[in-house]
Amino acid sequence: MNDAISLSQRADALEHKMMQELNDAIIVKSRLFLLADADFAMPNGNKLQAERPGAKMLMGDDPRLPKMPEKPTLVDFFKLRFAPAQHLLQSARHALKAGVPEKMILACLLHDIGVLGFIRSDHGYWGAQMVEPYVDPEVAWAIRAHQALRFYADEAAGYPYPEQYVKYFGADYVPDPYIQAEYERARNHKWYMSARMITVHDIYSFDPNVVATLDEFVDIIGRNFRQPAEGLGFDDSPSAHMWRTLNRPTKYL
Amino acid sequence: MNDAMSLSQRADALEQKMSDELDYILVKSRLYSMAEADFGPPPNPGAIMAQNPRARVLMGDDPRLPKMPEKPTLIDFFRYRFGPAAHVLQSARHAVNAGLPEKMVLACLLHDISTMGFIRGDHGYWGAQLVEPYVDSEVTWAIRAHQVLRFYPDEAAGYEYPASYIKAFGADYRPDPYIEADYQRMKNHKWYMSGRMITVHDIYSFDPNVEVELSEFTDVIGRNFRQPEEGLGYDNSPVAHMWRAMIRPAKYL
Repeated sequence: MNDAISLSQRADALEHKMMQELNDAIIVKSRLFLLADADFAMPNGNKLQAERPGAKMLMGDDPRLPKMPEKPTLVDFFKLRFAPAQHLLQSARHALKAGVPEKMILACLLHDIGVLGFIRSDHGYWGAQMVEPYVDPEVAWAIRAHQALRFYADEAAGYPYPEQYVKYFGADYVPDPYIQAEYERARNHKWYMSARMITVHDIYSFDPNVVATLDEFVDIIGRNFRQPAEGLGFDDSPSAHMWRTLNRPTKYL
Repeated sequence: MNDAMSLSQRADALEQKMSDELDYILVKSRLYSMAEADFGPPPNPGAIMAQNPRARVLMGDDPRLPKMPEKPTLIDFFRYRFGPAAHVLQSARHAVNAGLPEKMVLACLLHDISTMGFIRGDHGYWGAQLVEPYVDSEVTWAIRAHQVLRFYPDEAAGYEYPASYIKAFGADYRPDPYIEADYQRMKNHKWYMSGRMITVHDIYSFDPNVEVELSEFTDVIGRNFRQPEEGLGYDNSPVAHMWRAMIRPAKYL
């Protein structure tokens, strides 16, 4: 690009390029995303195409999002879809310092990917389902169970009920019956303490002066996360489509 | 309400009432924000609560959405969460008229539930995953396969490449390599023809004069969909959280 072009001209040019790219693609939101806005509209592809002749329904990469590599790794998802991930990085470092086994450091690093990158509601279940084909069953179990255990104190293990929950949910908040039932099952499970450790290291106040980086955990990921050679999303695993949705959240069909 | 109030006074009163009632904080899931190309930080509940001390993050039912029964059935999801179902209803009736086995009528009825109620991209994989614990494995397989087979004609079976796809995706559209790979696996599968039958009855032009009611299929659902007695979402199945996300798409955690 010509050096003589000003910064704002560059921004304009970039914006123009983006608009052009978008003009050829019609983006339609999924029902779930619309429901979260209490929007009950049902988009009609034919009508949208009639309004923008020549435009096609988006079936490939969303030009507005950072481009993912062809064979994306977990680290790529951290960088291009989950970032910033300070909460997970600080949580994993906290676990590392406490000397928990390596696979549990990975569990701490991944426990909130449902919140950071996917669906907040029941995020422990979502996160566990996404990583299940690639991690030790104990890791998937612990990520799932942290969803329920977080609402129940275990002072002996070092987990009081978080003050932040009293503030955010109200002092009178009582978890739903399915969470209560999950808690009853989990607390007698042989892996109870692994899930409990996620909640212990799920630190609710961040030190803004501590910046943990993903590089610290690259080796732990390499040893404990079975990265598929075809790339996450393209390995025909039971959760491949979930990673593809994260890759292309606006694919039409 | 006092009859003497003007229309605009009434509107003001209604708005005030709404904002008094909306003492909950909505934080969008990252997946939904990404579909809007919004990578900004999520709203900070603490800051919102400093303005409105009564506000809490939403952990229960979303008051903006139709209330679901305590133990929701598949039919309740059709009524309260899925968008217009004319397409799958016409498709299922088409299958009935062609004399398909009852479980394949169910497959036609359910093949697009992810488009209607959940996530559009790769909707066949999502839809299959949603129903897997509750239907015959052939039904699940066929719903997953229709995602792929829809892009490949089988004239002998009565399925041409849809003209509407040329319009929607362009004449030069080629399915992604993972779809091509799945097609190669699926076309030699013993249940190939079941997946293919979904595409055959996946009619792309609707007759606006034909009205099909869900009640026509109540018995087919009853005999072929294992409705959990705790309600869909509350049966601790591997996909229960997915149904719960449709019940409460904006739940905070």
